[in-house]
Amino acid sequence: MKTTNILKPLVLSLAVAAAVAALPAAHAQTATQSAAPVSSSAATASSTAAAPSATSLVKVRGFVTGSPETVGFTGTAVVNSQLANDPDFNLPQLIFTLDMSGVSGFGSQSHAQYVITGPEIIQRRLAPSHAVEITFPFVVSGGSPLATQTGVASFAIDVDQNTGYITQASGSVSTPNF
Amino acid sequence: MFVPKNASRSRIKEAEVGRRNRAEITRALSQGQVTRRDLLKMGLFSGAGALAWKHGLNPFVNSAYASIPTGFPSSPLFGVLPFTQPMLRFDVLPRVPNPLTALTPTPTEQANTTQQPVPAVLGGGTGPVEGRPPGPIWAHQRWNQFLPQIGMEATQLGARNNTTYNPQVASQFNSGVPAGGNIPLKFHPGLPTQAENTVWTFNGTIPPKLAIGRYGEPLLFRHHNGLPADITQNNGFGRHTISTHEHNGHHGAENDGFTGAWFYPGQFYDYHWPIVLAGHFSINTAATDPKAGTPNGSGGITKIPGDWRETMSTHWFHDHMFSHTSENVYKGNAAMFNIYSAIDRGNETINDGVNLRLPSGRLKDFGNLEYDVNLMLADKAWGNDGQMVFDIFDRDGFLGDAVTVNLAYKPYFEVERRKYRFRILNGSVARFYKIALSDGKPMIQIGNDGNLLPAPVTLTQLDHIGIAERYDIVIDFSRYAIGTKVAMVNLAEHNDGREVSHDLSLADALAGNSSDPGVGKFLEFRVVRNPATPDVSQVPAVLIPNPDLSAIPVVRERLFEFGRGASQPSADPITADPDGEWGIKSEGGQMLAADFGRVSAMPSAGKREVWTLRNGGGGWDHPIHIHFEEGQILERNGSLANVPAWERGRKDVYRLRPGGEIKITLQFRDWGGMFMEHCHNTVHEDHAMLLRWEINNGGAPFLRPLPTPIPTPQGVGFQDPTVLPTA
Repeated sequence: MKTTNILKPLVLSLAVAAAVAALPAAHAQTATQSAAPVSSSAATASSTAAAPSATSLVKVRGFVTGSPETVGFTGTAVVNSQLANDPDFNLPQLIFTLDMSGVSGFGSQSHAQYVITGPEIIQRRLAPSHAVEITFPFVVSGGSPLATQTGVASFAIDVDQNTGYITQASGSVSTPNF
Repeated sequence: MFVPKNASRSRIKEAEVGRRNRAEITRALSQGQVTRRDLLKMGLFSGAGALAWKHGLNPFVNSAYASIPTGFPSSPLFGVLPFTQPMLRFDVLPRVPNPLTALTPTPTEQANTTQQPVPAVLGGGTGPVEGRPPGPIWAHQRWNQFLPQIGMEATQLGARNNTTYNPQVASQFNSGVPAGGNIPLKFHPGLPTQAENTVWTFNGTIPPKLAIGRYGEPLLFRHHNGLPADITQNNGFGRHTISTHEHNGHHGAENDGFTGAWFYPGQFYDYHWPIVLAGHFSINTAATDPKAGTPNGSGGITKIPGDWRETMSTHWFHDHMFSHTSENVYKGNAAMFNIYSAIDRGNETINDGVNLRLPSGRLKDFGNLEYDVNLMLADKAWGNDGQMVFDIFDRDGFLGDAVTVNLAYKPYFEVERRKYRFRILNGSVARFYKIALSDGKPMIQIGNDGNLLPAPVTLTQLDHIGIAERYDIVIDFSRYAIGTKVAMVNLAEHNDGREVSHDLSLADALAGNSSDPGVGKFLEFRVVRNPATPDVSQVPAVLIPNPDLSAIPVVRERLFEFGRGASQPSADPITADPDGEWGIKSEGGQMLAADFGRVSAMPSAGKREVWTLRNGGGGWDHPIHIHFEEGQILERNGSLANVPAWERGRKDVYRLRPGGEIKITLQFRDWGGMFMEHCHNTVHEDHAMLLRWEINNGGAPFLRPLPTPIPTPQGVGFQDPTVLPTA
């Protein structure tokens, strides 16, 4: 098999390219990235600051306004953080599991109970603080899935960099504004 | 990762130079002019399998013009805007009755070894017309019991206009696009036509092809290889030899598209898909269960043997060529296969107590497509000339910056105010998607991979859909006013091909707060009218319960670990990947790169096993596909509680998640032969995270380790397999 000549021009050109790479940066451009949550309406939040743990119980409150009625939510979300170490590339990942099934809603007019299904699973690079905003489905208890509505839950989660354990977390519920 | 379109000319040029250099490597590899070992000697690849850390080659090396990676050049859009072309629905393959008389030459139980001239560029002489390995071992299992009733033919060809387009729906159900016409192979009418050897698809045309089948009606799919005989005529990527995998067919191994059973240009391969319920020979053998059935053509049910809880619905088929699957699937070798049954018959009006009446249509007994829509997601990239490129920047995965649906760049699709079923296939090489609707409204997931779930799951954001996974969902558009536009949005951001780096919020994805062009809206639905007839389709609370395996003893547990740093003890130049760094560790042994001549596991026919699939690291994700049998996930990271509702049905692709581990249970029934297990990030698969397993009963023709096929244009030879001691 002739292997020596096929890629010879490429090998040579790369030597030139390596020299170019040594030049100082001239036209720096950076990509922007934001994880800022959208503003929430009529929402309150509470924090947990217990001993660091993979799982944190986060008190969540807030309202979702809309048709057919405004629904107030209160309850405890279970937030789990799992650290996946990466010895090869040193880009460890966090996998957050956000279970809102412990949060229930109360219809402002019907007084019906609303339930949330889930969980939601979110993947992030390891960092000390995370703003995690998810949408969640909710429906009148026993109601048709076709009548499901949508809310927004926003979490602020701090994690231990070594274990991925949650050191502090807070959450709130708000109305979607997409 | 991708250089912004508004970057300086110098930066864009720099990235293009890198891509050109990488394209030379890709071309040389695809055409067999060099091996990866040669590249290692030349200093272009590192010992760990990564592209050398050289400027002008590696996109992750810092730019000369910025303190950020050089990146990948963006695909030019030639002024094309998103959502300015209709999404064409799949092109349905004609079903030919009585293939034993209709097809020429007549399909045969054993491979047809009639000789034909072989082009000089393939070595000359003569070779068989059929590329299937010859003899009784590769004969179609139970051929006479399941003689094919329907035939389908397709030819793998270079790009050309489609003059026979047939979506099997009227134009009002296809965004106004009628059947027929003359459809050029473009990702958008405003983008250049793809050159003949840039894109290789079924019949050389777009949109992708859809096969229609039903249980109890054996199919014969004759796949012709019409690709260039000259291996260099590939426009820089793609291998002209192919092996077609019916993913996840419950068929004999000779019809599975074994990675080492490829066939050559000028040959065909007859794949025999009997389409039986798993447990055909052991459960409901008298065919008395009313739920185990198939549409009879006139509104009734023909009962069939097997376990109705094993009914499958949404398959696809694609190339599985050893070491070249990623290039070939990316190049267009991907199609879908809807399988209909009494319980999921594609007719929403028949109310017989068995039919689930999922959104579909009403005109035909089965297989109505008006409200049952196949969606194939695939990210592509093209160069300044608009021609598709494959960028083997490393062996972690390939990402394109242009998301296509049914091979159309960011199209729109017109819908009525009613429920639709969408069968979503991730047909990408390495990209995961996380799908939401742009208004955050809910979707109902009814299926995962080929199978309907035990119960529907309502979600506002779907879980990651890994490569080769299929999610069947229902969207109810009756909640929208006519004139509404709502889009599917991808929330999963990649920085490389290894895994999702960041799941965005819907607000951030819509605001464009990602450097990954694959994030954001990719398909726009336009609500255009009320349905002409009331929507009588349903989403029942119970779909297909899982088979109850509790009384079936587990005869063995196995552990497979997927990771890097694989070694290759074999020097076989044909069957063994020489230096792929991805590999699989079986039962705590060595991390081994793929060798399709090596058998790594030998489960016994008719038995049940439990397999643990472990991700050997946290820096990557692997969607692991196990051929032949559906499995149930018993545990994720040690607990059933970690298995979400949408994964509690049967599956054939198992996303491990970074650092994750899952335990599954499988049975091995009805058919025999050699199958595979591999990562479906097809770059990982090609380099070389794949193993062969084989059903073994120690003697019966298909139930023992079989000789390994060694295809050549002049015929297929065989050699004895090697078997791991722990197999």
